[in-house]
Amino acid sequence: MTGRIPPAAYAVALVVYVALGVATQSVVLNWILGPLFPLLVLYVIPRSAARVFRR
Amino acid sequence: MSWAAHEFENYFIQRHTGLKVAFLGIALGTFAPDLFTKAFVYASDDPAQFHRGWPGVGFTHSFIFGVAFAAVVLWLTRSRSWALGVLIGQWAHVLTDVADTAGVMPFFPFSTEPVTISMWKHAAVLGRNGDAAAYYSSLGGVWDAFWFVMLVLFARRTLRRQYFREVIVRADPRTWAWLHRRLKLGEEGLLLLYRGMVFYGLGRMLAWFLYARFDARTPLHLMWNGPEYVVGNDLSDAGWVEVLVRTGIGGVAFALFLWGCWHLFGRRLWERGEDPPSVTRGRGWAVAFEPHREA
Repeated sequence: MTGRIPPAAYAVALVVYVALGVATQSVVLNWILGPLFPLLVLYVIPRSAARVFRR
Repeated sequence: MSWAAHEFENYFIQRHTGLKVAFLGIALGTFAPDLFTKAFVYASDDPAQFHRGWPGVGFTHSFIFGVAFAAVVLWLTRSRSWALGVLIGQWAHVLTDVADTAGVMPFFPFSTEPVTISMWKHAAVLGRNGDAAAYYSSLGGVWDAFWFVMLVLFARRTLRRQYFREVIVRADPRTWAWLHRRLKLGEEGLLLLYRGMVFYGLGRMLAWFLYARFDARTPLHLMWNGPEYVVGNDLSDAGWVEVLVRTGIGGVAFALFLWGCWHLFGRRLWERGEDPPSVTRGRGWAVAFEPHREA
């Protein structure tokens, strides 16, 4: 997967993060998962999924 | 303590340091005071005393801790940009945490007098969720929102791709190249990593605020020294004159200590350090800070 991530994707990720945060609190609202969340959901997971589906 | 403000101020600091300081160093510096201690704070019998006092881990919220940490970083990495980032980030965290009732001992060990403006209550005694609910029911939440507004008004440029390429990466090429190689991240991934801090700050600010309103249902008390339902926990019963005198004496002693350390080993450590090719350091403030530019 190439190409820039659109701002709307950041907004969706933020809404998901806030919702998960309200529901689970410290599970996602921490120094490790918090800053890595956009990297995981907007980059790592989509690219890994694309690689799996290409096989 | 401040919450999301510690994330937002990283970018505000970055806006003023430009090429001269490593952003990841700033981030490490702002995390440093709570990084190894916060979990223990919530398990303590007297969280405010343990977190900010002495005996306790209050020394992590002193300027000398930042100096020592930065010196170790400089010694290990030889990176002046990282050392300055750690120092500035840690000092910013100390200054921000003056705002809660537990305060900080800025000139520990030369003064152990807590300095605070008591804008909101230190509420770690309520556990992590209770602490968050109290913070986002008080002027603490307003403080976080203020720093987000400051970021948007004066430092939004730091979030742009062009700024990341031209400043963030150029200020610390070794680290970003290592992250690119080791984690196999393209520019998009590195950009997400860089923007992760503001994402986390905004996300947790909104999430904890909503948690406080709709789950914990804590009353909103946007008044000085709020929220009311949290028991007061000022660590000092001294009057402001006594605090001023003790802190002043501690400040002078700290400055003399720094002067001595600089002449004994600090200058040699600094001269042994290295800068990326794009960095030109001036004198005084210009060692770490760039002239003002538009947002």
